[in-house]
Amino acid sequence: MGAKVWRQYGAGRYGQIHLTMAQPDAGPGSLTPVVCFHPSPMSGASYKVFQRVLAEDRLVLCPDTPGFGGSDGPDTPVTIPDYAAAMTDLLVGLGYGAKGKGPVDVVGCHTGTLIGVELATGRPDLVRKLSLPSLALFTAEERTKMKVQFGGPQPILTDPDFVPKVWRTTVIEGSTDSPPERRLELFVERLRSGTKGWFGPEASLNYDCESRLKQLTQPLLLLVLNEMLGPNTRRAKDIVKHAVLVDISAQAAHGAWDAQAQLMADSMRAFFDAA
Amino acid sequence: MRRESTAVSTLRRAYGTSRYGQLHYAAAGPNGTTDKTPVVCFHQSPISGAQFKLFQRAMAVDRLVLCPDTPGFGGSEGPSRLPQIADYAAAMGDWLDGLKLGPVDALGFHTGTLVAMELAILRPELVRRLSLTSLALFSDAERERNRKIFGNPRPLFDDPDYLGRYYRDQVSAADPAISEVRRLELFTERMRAGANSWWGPAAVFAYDTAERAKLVSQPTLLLVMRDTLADATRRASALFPRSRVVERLDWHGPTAWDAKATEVAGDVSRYFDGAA
Repeated sequence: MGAKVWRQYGAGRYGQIHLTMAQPDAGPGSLTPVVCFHPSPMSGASYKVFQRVLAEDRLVLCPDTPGFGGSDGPDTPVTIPDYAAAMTDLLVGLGYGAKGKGPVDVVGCHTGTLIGVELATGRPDLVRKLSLPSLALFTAEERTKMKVQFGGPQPILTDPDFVPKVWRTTVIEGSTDSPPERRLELFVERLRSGTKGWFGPEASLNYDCESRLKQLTQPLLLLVLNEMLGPNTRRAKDIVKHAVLVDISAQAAHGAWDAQAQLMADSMRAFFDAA
Repeated sequence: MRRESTAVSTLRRAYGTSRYGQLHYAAAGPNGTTDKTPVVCFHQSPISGAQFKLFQRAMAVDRLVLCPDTPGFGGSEGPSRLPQIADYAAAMGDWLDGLKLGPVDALGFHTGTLVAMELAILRPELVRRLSLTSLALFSDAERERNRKIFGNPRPLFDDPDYLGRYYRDQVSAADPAISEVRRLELFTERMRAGANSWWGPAAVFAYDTAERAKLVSQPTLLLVMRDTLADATRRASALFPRSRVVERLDWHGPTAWDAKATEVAGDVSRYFDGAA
């Protein structure tokens, strides 16, 4: 089975939202569509390989968060609820929700997990189930520490070696889980947010994920990978008692969205399609 | 009289279709109606239609202005094999057919000059007038020299310092006539073409500009700006059957689309709106 892939624009409160759609060649089928929210400062293209695999039996939408990839963004830093509100605009505009085509299932990674949590708690009619590998769950103390390292503007233009350094670490010396052309593609997607790429990480580090997780009523899959947020993802099980924890860290690491796309998609299918 | 820029609608991006798949473009126009012929701008490679973003807004005060990304550049899907200029032009014909706009005025810069003139030759019913700046016209010796420099794959993955040099040339040590933020944006657009970014220049160096120019029947403005191709553009007036040369050597070709956007739009509009 193959997947048909296309790109289009929708609308959100910050302007146009760019998204990539994929569905089975024969049509979208009857399974609940999946929306994937990406890490920042990347774009929906982070999911390109995974999206094609998951779309073999359902519609999969990968939007670019406002200000990233091909989406218009805010002029000043915003919050995770702002991003979630823009994604609400997009999904309602596409006809999803209680008064339309019903809810979607949500996948998230890093910043995208928080947009997923906020969307699910703020607009429960839009979200049926969530799968959140690499959940950006931090205590207030961890957030304070991380802000020192990752918060605030990056010296993208003030340090002439900043972009070349990102190139060296992510493309030349990057993980060989994906070919150099794909590493180049992701490097470019990272650059597309320009001098405002820090808005996403900043919003993540200002978000009280734990409080919102306590309000989550939808079924939640915590898929634990062998990567920096694996322990954080595991810890979320103590907060969301009804969550299903699946540990695939022996087989899947940070590059699993590309290198183990089939395993990732199958793990989520089993959860999304279970009664 | 030209309307104020406040009359311009928000720039919108969209996808059309060509023989290579989805074709990405940006559209801008006045909020009200206009009876002026739409303008299509063909960009230099390896950039994208975003090269014209500021010029597009200036030009769009009284007409629809479309800036497509050439197949394989920006957000447009590209061919799987090295194309010719005629392939790019045919793909643009597909896209314009889909938009059903009727004839347009076509503007080009560097690679875009050849896409524009080839479209005018292949699909004369689609192109009313042309405006060409930095026409890619070379002597055999120039063509061969440029082909060796620009018409081959870039050492993206083989030379660890390549990107650093390219970034310095295009962003950190580049012409301050345009802002650093904008230079970063244009650098990013250059990089979006990936490992096949040399296909645009390679197509240019395989194109017989001198012979094809003789077949252009539409009125053609040769707008000469200060650039490596200024003399070539001037020289071309002997080749195009219906050309007019306007010299603007105080404008620097690569940056004028930003730094002199309103002024360039004025010259181009006057030509498109004037008597042929």
